[in-house]
Amino acid sequence: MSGERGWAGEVAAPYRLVDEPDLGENARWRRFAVDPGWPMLGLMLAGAWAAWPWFWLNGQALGSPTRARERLWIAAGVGGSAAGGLLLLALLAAGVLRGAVALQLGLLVITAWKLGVATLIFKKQAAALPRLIEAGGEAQSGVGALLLAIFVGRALVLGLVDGPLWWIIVSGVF
Amino acid sequence: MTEDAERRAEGWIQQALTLRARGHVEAAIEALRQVLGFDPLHARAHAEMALCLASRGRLAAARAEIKAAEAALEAAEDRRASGIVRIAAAQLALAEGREKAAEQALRGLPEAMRAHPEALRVAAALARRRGQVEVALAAIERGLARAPEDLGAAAVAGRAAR
Repeated sequence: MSGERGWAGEVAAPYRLVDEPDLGENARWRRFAVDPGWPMLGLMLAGAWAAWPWFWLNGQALGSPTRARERLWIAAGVGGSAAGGLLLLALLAAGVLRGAVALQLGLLVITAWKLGVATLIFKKQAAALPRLIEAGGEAQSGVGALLLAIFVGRALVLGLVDGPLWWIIVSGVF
Repeated sequence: MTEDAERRAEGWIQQALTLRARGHVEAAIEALRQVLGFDPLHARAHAEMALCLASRGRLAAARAEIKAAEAALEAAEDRRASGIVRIAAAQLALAEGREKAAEQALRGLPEAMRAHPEALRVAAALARRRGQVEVALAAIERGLARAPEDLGAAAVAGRAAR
C-alpha cells in the first residue's frame, strides 16, 4: 500500500482506499486482530458480554473503516437486548404473557436480535480483514480467549448480578 | 498538474489498464494508487480505480472512488474520465443488483465511449443477467474485437455462452 518507486524513479505518497485499514491509527491494537468469526462464536458459546467488547476491540485492531458504525450497532445490540428484556419481564409481570412457551418465544426474539446485530458486525469486519492482510497485518487465533470466556468468564459474569434482566442482557444463545 | 506529472500519471494508468485486461486487478489497483498518491484529484485514476474495485466486489470503495472522480470532474472537465465514471457507476449498479440504474448509466455514455471494452463488458453482463444471451455475446464480441487481450471480457463471453 505504501508508495513504491516506479519506472520513472518517483516515490508516491500512499493513497488509502476507504475500505482499507488505517494502519497508522491502529498500529498499537493490531496484535489483537482476530477473524471476526471468533467473537461471533463468543456470542454463541460464551455470551453477549464477551462478544460485544470483543467486536469493539476487533474493529479497532482491524482498523475497520466502518468501526464507528460497528460501535453504534454494538450499542444497539446491548440497548435492544436490555429494552427487549425489560419489556419481556414487564409483560410477564403483568400477566400478558403466560407460560413457558411465551417466555421461550420472547427470549428467542431477543436472541435473534443479538445474532442479527452480531452478523451485521461480523460481515463488516470480515470485509476489513482481507484488507489488513493485504497491508501486511495478520489475524491471531481467538481460540484461547474463547475458551477462557466459555470456561471461566461466563460463570463469573453471569454470577455478577442476581436477576433475570442481567442474564438476558449478557447471555448469548439461550 | 505539470506536464511531467501528467505523463507519469498516464504511464501508470496505461500500466493499470494492461494489468486489468490481463486479469491482474490487484496489481492494477496498486498502479492506480501510485497516481492518486501524487495527484489525489486525478479524475480518470479515480474512475479507473472504481472500475477495478467494482470488479473485485469492493463496492463501498468503488462508490467512494466514483464520488471522488465526480468531485474532481467538477474542478476540471475530462470527457474520457467522465465516460469511465459512468461505466464504473453502471458496473457498481449491476453489482448491487440495480439493473435499471446500470442501463441508465450506460445509456448516458457519450457515443465515443459506447464501444469502450469495459462498457461492452458491463452491457454484456447486464444482457446475460436478463437472459439475453445473443445480445450479451454480440456485445462481448465487439469488446474482444477492440481489446483481444482482455481476459475479463473473454471470461464474460465464456459465461454467456454456457
